[in-house]
Amino acid sequence: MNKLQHLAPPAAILTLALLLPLAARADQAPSSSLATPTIRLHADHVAFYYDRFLVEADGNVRITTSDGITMTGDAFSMDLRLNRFLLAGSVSVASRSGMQTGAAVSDFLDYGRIYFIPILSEPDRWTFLDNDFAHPAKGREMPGDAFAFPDLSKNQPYLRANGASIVPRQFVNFHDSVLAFAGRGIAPMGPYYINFSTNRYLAENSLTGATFDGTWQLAGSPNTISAIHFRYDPTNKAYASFEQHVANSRGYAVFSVNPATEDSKFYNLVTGYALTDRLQVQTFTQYHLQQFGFSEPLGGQDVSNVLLTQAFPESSLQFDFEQYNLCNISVYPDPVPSDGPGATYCGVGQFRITNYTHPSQMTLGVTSFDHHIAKTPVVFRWRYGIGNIHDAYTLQNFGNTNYDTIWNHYVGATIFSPTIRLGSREDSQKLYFLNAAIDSQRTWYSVPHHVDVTDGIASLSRTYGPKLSVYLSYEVHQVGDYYNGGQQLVYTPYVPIINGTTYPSYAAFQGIATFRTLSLGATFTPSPDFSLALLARRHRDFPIAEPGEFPSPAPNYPFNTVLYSNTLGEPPYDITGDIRFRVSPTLAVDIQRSYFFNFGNQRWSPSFNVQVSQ
Amino acid sequence: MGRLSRIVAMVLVGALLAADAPIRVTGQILDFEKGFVFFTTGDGFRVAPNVEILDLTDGHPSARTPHPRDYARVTFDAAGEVTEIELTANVLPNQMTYLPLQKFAVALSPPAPNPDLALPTPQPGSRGILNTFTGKLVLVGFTVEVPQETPLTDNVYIMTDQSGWNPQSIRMDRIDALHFRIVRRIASGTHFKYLYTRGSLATEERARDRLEATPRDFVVYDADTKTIPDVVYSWADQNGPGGFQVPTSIPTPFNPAPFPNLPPRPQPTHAPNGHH
Repeated sequence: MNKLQHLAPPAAILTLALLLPLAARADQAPSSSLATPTIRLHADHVAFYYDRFLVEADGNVRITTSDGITMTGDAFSMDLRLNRFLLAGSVSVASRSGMQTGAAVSDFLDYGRIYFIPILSEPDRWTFLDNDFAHPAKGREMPGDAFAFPDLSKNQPYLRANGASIVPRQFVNFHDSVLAFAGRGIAPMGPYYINFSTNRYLAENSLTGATFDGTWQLAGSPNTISAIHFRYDPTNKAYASFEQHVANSRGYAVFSVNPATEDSKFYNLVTGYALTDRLQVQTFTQYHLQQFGFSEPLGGQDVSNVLLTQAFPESSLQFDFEQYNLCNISVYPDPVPSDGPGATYCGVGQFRITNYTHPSQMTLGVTSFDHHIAKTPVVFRWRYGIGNIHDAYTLQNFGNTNYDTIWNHYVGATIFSPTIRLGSREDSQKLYFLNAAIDSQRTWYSVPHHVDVTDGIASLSRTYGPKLSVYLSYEVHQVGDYYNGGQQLVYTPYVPIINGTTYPSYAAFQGIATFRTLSLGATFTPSPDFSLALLARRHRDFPIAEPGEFPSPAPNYPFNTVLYSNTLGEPPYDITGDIRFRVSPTLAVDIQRSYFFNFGNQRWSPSFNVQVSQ
Repeated sequence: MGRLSRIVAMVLVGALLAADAPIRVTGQILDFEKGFVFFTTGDGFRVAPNVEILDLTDGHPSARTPHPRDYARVTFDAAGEVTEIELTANVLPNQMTYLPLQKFAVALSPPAPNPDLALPTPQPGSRGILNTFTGKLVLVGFTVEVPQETPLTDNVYIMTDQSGWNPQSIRMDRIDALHFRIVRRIASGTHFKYLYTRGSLATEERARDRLEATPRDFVVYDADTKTIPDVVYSWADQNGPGGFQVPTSIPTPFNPAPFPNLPPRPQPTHAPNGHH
């Protein structure tokens, strides 16, 4: 077990090691002359329209390509998604076949077609096939939009620059860029890299959420991105973070320091790699350090996770390992180790803690694909697995025995119905849709108890035209913790007395809780740029929620990875409103807030939840 | 309305040509040099030696020469020479594609067919239907069924390669506990890859076999409507084996106690023999 505790970080490093040589090899891959020549652009004015992925340039435009072609002209327009560019106005094209002049040239890079309007004694129309400038196809019909400039009257540039290096289908790197807002330059950025490849692994990130995130990608290649994030969240306020991405077609690694400008820093490494077409590994490693600047840490904790997934024809096998070091004296040494027998401390000064656990868990589980029950439309899937939880400082005491290792195994299944249509089949506006699903799992532990979790949900929905949809759902979630013969020992009935208030209804609780939730939701979307969602819920739970009875679950400081699914004490009624609107083609704002109908003097959620996204 | 005005303009151009009267049309300039003016249709027209270059807004002579991207209203005489160019920065409709004007376009080489632009041959089994792209707006509806574990308060988004895999590219509308939908008008010829998320890359979908999902390939052909029914089998943040409850308490995240916030006992009278 102790050996396993240090499995996760090496797994992350192994994934990284697999990735880096392949990433480098992809960088050096030769490209054919037709494939993707690098385009170097210089002009008096270069602008990038992020919402349309357009690079526009005007005044003394000069283009040089990596396959030896130089072009000059007055105006340039490149659609990075369509992968074609247009150069117009007193154009010259210099290639190995010599110099040619004309009114405009349009290069459809994906198709090996260059459309050219030369001006000889009179204008003409030439097409160069596969970059053969010596043998133009004269008079050949051209696509109707070969020389069309985009209409930019309703768009504003995202940034301005005086040059750019464009690797088609991969990335563009702007030189001497200035971030623009409402058409005006607002912040000089220097180099600015934008990736637009289809490799989604370059978009993986390792940062936690923030209210606002403005990203400056200052360098990159087809397989790497280096970025600084300017962020804001209610806890840290304004701060900056650094993130480094490495990716190829089979995997990725993302490293970040977040926030890099605060004393409480999270160093994250997220990796993923397809070892084969059916075997993948994913890792997550996080060190939380208290340090001034980048000096020696005064304290810290870390967590690592490895997930291996092997696909089979009708099921998948997963191995999950997770390990925490909340106070590992080998990593965060105690400078004053003489605080008494048995005491274990780590960290310095105000960051010195006695929180000495370093628990770990691993699970090996199988999950089936979806199968129909007999020949019915009802579908089910099952799962089974075994697991181990370990903490040298004791996980649980039961029957006067300390358990520092707990084995478990589980079996579970999900059954769900197809969508059932009710009402008028002739009028789609009067159709109702009924869905139902039930999930159940039993987990046995080596401590003599088992936990049953059952969740059933049914919903009825209806749409009123394309703009409004309404649904009603009812969910019952039951959790039972059963100690055979020891139920009264663990869940001894008692009446809590908190701040002088007694809660007699709790005395009936003996380890079995039921959460019933009735939800009414509506979404109104009058336009693609605006939506309003309302969700009203009524909770009827056991144990009955009464104000002040149940404490808030302790936050899992410092790792914000807590998943509370069985929290007791939900207010009986709540309603949540969510408005999302687009303020510009590249920015959307999402505002959310909940109301709790004066439960325990709680009306509104503490603050608006505001999210700005691109 | 736009189509009607275009038809009226075409009729007027045809009538003016028939009457040998000066013709005025609008378009966007590609180049102006060596006695020719070029428009974004790729056509070049001969310019009269005494051509007048005016400002369209006030009708006064313009101080600048026509430049690529400028919009202009041009006047042709009966011989097809451009006698007047009125410049503006405002967007003007492109009337240079009208066939009657084509006879004025100057080109040394006779037109030759382009095999690249020929319609494709219908594929076997396509019943003669061509998958063509004309840029026509097609009503596309995406409907996705999500796993039962999807929290009722969560949103579902589509992320695409065309938006840099932004996990909140297109927000969908919930239509019931297990389904989300979005309807958009998308131009035929649009091609992108996409995946579903719950708003972040940590909550992106996983494939049926729980491996990373391969992005779906989406192409819009010419049609009136298109419906895309998709299924999400699991989410990345719920992909662990057994749905293990982690973490549930502090300082031991893996304490298998299923209830994280029981109320305190009034007066503990004996050593705990249950949970930490």
